[in-house]
Amino acid sequence: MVACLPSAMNDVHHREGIPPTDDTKQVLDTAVARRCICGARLGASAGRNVAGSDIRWASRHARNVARGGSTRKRVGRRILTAAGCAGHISVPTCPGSSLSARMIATPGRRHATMIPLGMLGFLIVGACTRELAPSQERPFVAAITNDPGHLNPAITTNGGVHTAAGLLYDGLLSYDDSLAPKPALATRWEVEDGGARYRFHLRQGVRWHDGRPFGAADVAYTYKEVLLKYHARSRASLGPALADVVAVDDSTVEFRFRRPYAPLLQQLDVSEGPIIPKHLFAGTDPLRNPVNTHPVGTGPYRFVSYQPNGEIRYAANRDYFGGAPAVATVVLRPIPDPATQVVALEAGEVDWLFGIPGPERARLRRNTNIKFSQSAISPGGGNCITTLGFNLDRPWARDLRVRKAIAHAINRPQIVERVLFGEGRAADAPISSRIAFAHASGLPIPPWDTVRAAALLDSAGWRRNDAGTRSSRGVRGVKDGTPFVIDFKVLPAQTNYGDLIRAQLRAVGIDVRVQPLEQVVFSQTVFTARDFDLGIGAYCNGTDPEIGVRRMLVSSNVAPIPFSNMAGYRNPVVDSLFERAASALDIDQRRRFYREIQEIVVRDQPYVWLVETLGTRAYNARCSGFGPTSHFLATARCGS
Amino acid sequence: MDGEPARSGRFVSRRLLQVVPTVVGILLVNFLLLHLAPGDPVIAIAGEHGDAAYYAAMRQRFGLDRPLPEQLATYAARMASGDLGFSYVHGRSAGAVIAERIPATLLLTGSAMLIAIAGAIPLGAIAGRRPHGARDVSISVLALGLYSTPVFWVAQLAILLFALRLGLVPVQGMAAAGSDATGFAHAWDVVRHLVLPALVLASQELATLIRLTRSGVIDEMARDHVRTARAKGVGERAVLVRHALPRALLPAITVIGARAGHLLAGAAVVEIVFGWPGTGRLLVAALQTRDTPVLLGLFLVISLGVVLVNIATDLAYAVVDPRIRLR
Amino acid sequence: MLSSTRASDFAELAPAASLAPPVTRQRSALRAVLSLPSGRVGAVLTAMTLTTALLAPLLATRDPFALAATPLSPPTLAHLMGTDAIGRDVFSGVLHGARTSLFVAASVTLLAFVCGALVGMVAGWRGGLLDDLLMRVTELFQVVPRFFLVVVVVALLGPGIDRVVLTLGLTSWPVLARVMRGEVMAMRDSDFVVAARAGGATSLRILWRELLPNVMPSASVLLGLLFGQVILLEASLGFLGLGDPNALSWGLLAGQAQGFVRVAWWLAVFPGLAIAVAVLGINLLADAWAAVLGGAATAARTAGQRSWRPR
Repeated sequence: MVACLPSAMNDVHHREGIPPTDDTKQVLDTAVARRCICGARLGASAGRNVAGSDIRWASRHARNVARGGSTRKRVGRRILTAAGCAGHISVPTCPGSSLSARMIATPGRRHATMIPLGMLGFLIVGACTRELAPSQERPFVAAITNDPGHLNPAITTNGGVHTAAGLLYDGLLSYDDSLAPKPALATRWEVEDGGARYRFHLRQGVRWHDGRPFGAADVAYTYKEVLLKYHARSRASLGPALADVVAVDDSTVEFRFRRPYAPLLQQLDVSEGPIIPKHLFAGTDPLRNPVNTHPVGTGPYRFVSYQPNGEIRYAANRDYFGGAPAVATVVLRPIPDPATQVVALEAGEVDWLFGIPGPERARLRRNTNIKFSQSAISPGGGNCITTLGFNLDRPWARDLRVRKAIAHAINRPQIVERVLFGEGRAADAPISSRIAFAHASGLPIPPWDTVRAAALLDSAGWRRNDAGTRSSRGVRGVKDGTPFVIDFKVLPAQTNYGDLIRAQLRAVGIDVRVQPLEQVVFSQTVFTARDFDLGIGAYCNGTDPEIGVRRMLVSSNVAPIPFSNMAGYRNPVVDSLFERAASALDIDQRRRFYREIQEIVVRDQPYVWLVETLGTRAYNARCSGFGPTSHFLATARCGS
Repeated sequence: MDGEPARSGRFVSRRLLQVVPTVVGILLVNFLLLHLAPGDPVIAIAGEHGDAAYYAAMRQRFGLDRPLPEQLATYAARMASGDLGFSYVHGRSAGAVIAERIPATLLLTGSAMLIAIAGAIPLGAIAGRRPHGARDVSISVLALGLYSTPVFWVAQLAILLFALRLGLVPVQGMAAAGSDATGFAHAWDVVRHLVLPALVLASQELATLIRLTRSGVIDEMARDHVRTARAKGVGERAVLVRHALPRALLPAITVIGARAGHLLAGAAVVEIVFGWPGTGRLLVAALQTRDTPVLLGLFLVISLGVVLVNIATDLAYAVVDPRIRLR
Repeated sequence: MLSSTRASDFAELAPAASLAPPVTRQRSALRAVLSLPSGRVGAVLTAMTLTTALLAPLLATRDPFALAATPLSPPTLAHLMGTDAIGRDVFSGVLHGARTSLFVAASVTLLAFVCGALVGMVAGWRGGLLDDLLMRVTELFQVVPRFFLVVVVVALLGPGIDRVVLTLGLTSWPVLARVMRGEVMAMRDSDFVVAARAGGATSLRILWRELLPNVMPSASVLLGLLFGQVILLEASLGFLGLGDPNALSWGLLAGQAQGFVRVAWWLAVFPGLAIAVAVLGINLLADAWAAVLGGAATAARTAGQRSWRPR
């Protein structure tokens, strides 16, 4: 180290009376810089080789310091003079150097280039080895939105479970494209006592996936111990009517009802009545049985594995009574984000989507590798109508004019266009148009008419303020001056409906607060506590009004069960009409009863029937032959 | 220095002891959440299908008819023995469900942290070497930009660009669907699927770590011992790497612990977008089905995880900086 | 002190070496901040965001909830940022969303400041057993993962702005508390405090009049960073569908846009851009402010003066 520097610094401090500060340290840096530069001049005292990098660093450092204040310059100059280095604090040059601006890699720079290069190389290698996966028959990959958790569709109506597990089981019957019943586990049946007794003859030689034989005992067990206790739709529809399910012998089972029950044949497929094995469930708590995650059924596919990474694997059931499926392996892959599902389909990583987000449809249709299959049946039920329900216990909702006004304010074609993106139609009756015999046409459904809506609200006592909202004046049961604010409870999947209806009702001055609630909380709040003004639900009609329509309109079903009579509508005339329609076996008679029911409820408007929904599934064009129901893969085949 | 091992040992045990009240506090918060939820807690525990007799039996079994302090004690005992409750959605014990998902999340967050550190050290060093230079400004702006963008945005754009448009990496999942690969082939498959999610997650942490390393380097480079080294003629690179960098990394190390919670939050979003089967995805699924045992169990496990990481980084910091452990 | 105040707490501040050289002896805080490039950019961006939020009803002529035009139409002169899936104007949505997002961030920041100041300053002033106890409590709150707690709370109690604000506010104060505690401890024995005590001032008065203003500068840097973090957290909640649908916020808009990324890029880009601009602005400002404080602190320490007050 050059000896002169520290003492020179001390001298300057003494002389100038400047305390040692950071400034001085900066100067020392400069002095060090100077040392390198002046190395040649100071000659032997420097005593070391000067590296090019040192020189460049030094000159930069000196430049930085030189940009500082005048004090530094002054002190610096003195020190340097004292140190014997000539020159000024400007850009120094190293005498006799022949350095060019050679890039000497500093460690930082080397690492900096190495890391992105390394990652890029990794990505490239990854891309090139993409096709090196072991070549085996390519499995059919379907994307599902949630991990189903368990795979027993008899203890829940959770759509995720039914979607995932539908392929593993059978019901007594199944339905074809026109929704007519066909034999599945039952080959023939008789209806006796005017519909109070049904006898089913079961198929011979059916075995469970574990090899044990299937029999009537399984059917009886499933209905009595499981479905009627845990399956919400069965409990709601069959529960009150069914007296007993009896296994007459090993291949015959009888359903005995308390009164004639017409719609039984429409609710025996795998989503309404899946049959589970008695020999694995009897005597256990069905909700906690470990078989639920290692299921055994009779269906076209049997369970292989359910891995922690979420993947569910099935293999074709070679002994399936309906014929072994052509697609040998099925993999269900949970992908929660719908956008990622679509991307995965386009990239070829999955072959089947159970639903497509509306906005993507138009774009996907242009993709020739992707085909579509539309169906009104979904694992949660078929022929669904999204319905708005008024809480008739609330004073504001008791006035028919207000209900009619809201019905007029809602623009249903706009809902089809903006929420469903065209996949569906505006509902024109309380019963789905796909139940042809019962659907009534020409009913006086209120059309979209905001003028009429405003007039009705005015006459009902809800007057407009200057702000554009409404408040009450002279409304029975409501204090004067109460603003018209509606509490609208929805499921998270229906928030779009909420937003659009809020906008439509705002146009006539009604303020809406949308509240999305998760399934369980929604059930508790709307059906148990009945704490809501307006609710919305997808009521799936099934293939007979007795299955899905009756439950929303009869007074006995104002119950704390999900998707019961949400509005709390009580009309004894309608009740008795439903009773008679359920007992009548003549189809024309039933049609007349249902027509009368629809005329009455359209007049009373306890609900606003919004839209009939369709489900669109998308799949990779290498496969074809899909069916409309839960067993969509049973008839499919795939190339390559 | 023969008092040092004894003092270090005391430090370690003292640090571990400090954790106990925190754990107790977490259990308390969990318990409160369970009882704050609207609705009967027995439904949350026993599912919604029971009848009055079933619920009465469940209430007695879980002690829900006891006074609250006694319930708290029972609850703590259950948690301590690992019984996190039964998930009716999954049909298995909640603890088993959660335990299955932890490795995937650990893999994702661990890789993301490693990438972030590996990237932040050189970038921070470059930036700090010459403050306010062109490189520094560009790196710092990049870091701030990354820090200011929401994770899901970056994730979706990354998928669209790298996975779909360029086809370099798979779109989703942890392994190819339906693949039977084992051993090295399987590991390679997982690694390929890991690249993009880990990079996206790392981008969030990268920003903070770059800033910290940079400030650490700036601080250290101005210190006396570095100045001395330079004056002695030590080369610039050696000055940076051997003298300045080790001490400069200390703040970065300690902040890893503090960021653990934040990293896990980002991991939840990344897992959703990429379909990565970890605890974040489980959380959202449990949210949708209101699977309370899994929800609360996850919350408990993640909190404890954060505590563990904090302890680890504190100990690491103490190892590196003797001033701390000799107190 | 070091064992209970972790270096990680100060790491967030990094006052000594932010994007600017330490600035000494500037005449006012504002000028100091504005003299730095990061400060200028940050101030501009933050001012833009604030004005947008304040003037939203004037700038956005439409009701953001009303149906305006054909859905999913790209940006035009009439609709500067296009329309969304049900036909609402995105521009009005983003402007009104600024109000909600900034309101949430400000409320959380305020709540965190109040809690943090109370706990931190009392702990730093008193020391001893109370300090230990408060630090244990702080550690507990620090460990709780905020994001998961908000998810759990929303799961159990339903979505709502009030729940989010309360949950985030009650879990974001620990770092603030620690830093303020450290500063109070450092200043406890300095001249001006001793003088005030000798003059007969009560603890409360000292804390309020002497210590709080001197602790504010470093606390305000943390508060600025927290502000940005809350905006991002709220965006993530919206993405997961946990936002309050009755209060338009950037997170909600960004979340709703996720399904449309490839069909209508404007739905995702504009709210995301708004978030990035706001968070970037506030981070740059906090950065510049930290630099100003860093320089000032150095100068003050060297001169042995009483702590620096912004004039």
